[in-house]
Amino acid sequence: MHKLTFFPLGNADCCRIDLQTGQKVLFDYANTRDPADKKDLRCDLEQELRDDLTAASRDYFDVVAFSHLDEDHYKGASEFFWLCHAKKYQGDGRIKINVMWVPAAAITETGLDNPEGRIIQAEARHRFKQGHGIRVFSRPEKLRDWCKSNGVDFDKRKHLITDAGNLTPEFTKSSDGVEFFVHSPFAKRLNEDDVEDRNQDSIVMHATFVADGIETRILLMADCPHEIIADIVDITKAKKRLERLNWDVVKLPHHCSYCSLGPEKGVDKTAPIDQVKELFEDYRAEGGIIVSTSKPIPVKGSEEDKDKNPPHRQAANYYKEDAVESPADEFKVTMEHPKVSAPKALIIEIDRSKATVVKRAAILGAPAVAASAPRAG
Amino acid sequence: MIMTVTYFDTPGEVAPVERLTTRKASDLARLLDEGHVPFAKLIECRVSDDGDIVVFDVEVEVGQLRRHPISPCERIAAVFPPGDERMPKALALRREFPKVPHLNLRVDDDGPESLCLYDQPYHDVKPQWTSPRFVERIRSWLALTSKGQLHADDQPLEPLLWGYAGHIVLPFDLLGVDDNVSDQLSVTALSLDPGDCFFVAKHRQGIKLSEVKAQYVLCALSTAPQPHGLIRYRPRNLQELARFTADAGLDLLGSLRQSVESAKEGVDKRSQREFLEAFPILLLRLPKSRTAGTAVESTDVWAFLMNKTIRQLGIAIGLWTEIDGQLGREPIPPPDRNGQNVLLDLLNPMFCLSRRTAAVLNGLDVNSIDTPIVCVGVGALGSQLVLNLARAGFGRWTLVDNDRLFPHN
Repeated sequence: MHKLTFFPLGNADCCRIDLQTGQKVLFDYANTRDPADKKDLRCDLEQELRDDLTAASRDYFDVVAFSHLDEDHYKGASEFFWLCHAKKYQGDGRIKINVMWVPAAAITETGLDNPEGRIIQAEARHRFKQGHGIRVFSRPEKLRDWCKSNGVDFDKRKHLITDAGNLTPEFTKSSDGVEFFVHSPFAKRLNEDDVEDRNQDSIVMHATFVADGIETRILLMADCPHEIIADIVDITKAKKRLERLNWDVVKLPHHCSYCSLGPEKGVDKTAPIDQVKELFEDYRAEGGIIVSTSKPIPVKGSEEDKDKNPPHRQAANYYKEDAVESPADEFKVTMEHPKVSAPKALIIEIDRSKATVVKRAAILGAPAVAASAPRAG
Repeated sequence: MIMTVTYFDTPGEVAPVERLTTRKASDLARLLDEGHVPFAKLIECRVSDDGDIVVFDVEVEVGQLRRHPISPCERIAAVFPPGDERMPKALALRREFPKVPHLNLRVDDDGPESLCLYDQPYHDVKPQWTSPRFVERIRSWLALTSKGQLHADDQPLEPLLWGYAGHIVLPFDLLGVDDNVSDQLSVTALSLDPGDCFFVAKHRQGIKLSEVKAQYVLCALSTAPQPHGLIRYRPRNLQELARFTADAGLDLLGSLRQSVESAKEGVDKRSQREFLEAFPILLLRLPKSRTAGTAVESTDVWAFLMNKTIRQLGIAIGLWTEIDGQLGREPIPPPDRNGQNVLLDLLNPMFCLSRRTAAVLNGLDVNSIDTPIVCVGVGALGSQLVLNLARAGFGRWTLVDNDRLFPHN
């Protein structure tokens, strides 16, 4: 059995993937909780990950992906991980990263204003210069230029680069029970645009898990806006790789923002552009699960509803009413699961029943040792 | 497109929590309302003639691939009978809720299904009762049903039918023989009280059917193996039973015509009248497997007492036609004579004990049944010992005692 764990972090991402081989992959790390605020319902991400690693007798992740260098995807990472580029990030108890996954923009981007973002960038650049422990997605001209000005032989780094439309070499279905297909970023876009837009250049992946011969497909969509989704759908269809659009579970892009559906928010429901509609409605498998890594969906007319930032009620209405079909499918929000007043990590198990949202409850007053489990008569 | 889920109406009228009079109902409603029950949400409370009703939604842990189409969210109506004497009911309100194993039997086919949550009587469930546990039991019932795992691997197979009017005791070796057994069994009625009929079937041991003044005649038939699962309410007439056995590969009416005709052929002229006036008891063997296509694990044996004599039965199933008191063979059975007016009472069969069965039931090694034992002295103690061990199927006994067994023994 494989397991996906989405942590309740407000509008921020961290998904741990536990493979049935025991390998652990982390997609983003954003420890957003404010320890000084007792009412903060977001989880203590560092503690949760540490507890899990301790239980597994590990001090490392096989892969940690930073989908892009926005703070809601790396906050606190410089305090948690063992970073190779400077001694000060190598203290006791830091968690090691075997392979770091970053978009090319994380290396080439200039003028990052967040100091922690610069630390993560320094780590990525260091590993790329060293020539190991990293995988970079897409090869824009800018990466070549960066190599030239930093004295790095680009041709000797090619094995560290994976372009959109390819599988990452770290995992295979036959030996690890999973493969990761890269949808984005595209080098083309990075070449054409002078301005680097992190959301547009973030890593979007399609993971295919295998358990007992049954395949389950997951779309991890980072903060991808609708224009990029349109490109992804068009290109994937043009290349006749429709199986890379099929999904059983999708991590919604950008914390349930309307911008990932279409250009207009709408009054009560965002209208998706054609390609987005196609992706969500035509490529969903029976019993599909949508996960919004976000704050609770605001109630109409509430203060939160007036907030410009996601989650947007109008976008959620589209997902709830059109993208999932009652009664078979599910729409889950990390800060609402299992309930708004006490969110907990959302766990999805993947086995021969495909994906299952775990809903186990510890019942108070149940004896520690039951005489026998109740049986149906 | 918004898919709407539709629900059955719940009886009674909507009421605030305060109007609930059953303690268990109001406790459940309050806990749900305050959000203290994980993965459950209060919808409404109702009061009705059946008792207090609490309607709530439960989130169910279901995989994408489901053996039975249980939804990630199901609406439940918990009905609490007044007085707390009977098990509260859990009704699945969704109209498309599937027909699955471990639903409570019901006479009519309308309205919501009732989940059978416990295999214990209510007074055994009561001491453990808490509202969150009740909800948790419903959630796990639904989750396991979606996986097809509700019926535990070590639980015996479910009976195929339910709702009997009495018992019939059968010889212990009946299951091993073929359908021609009917000729060799005689049936005696010890009680015909409604709801408590009691029949005993014995081997004739050499007496021919033609020589017996039979009041009841056994007719045995077998179906092909079928997977257990749904328990059905008993068929009320021969037509319904024929529909039931058709699913298991038996043409009941056709087979009955054949056996009744051949039994009649076997009876000599002098006994014809008694034979035709006897009441038939149909003995049906239904082999069961755990899942479709697997090996037969056990066999249900059911007996059906008919309300018609052999003569009337033959006519009702289109075997014979009566002209001036004489029976003639129908060339082709008329389609309207389908057994609809032959009413059936289901008898629950019990098997006589063999020494082997007694040993198994007493937890003995079956090899021990033939252990030769000599008991010297069969008085007050010895007689008790030998009788009880022999009844338990233990040992082949030789008794040595030169005295009589006196009253004080």
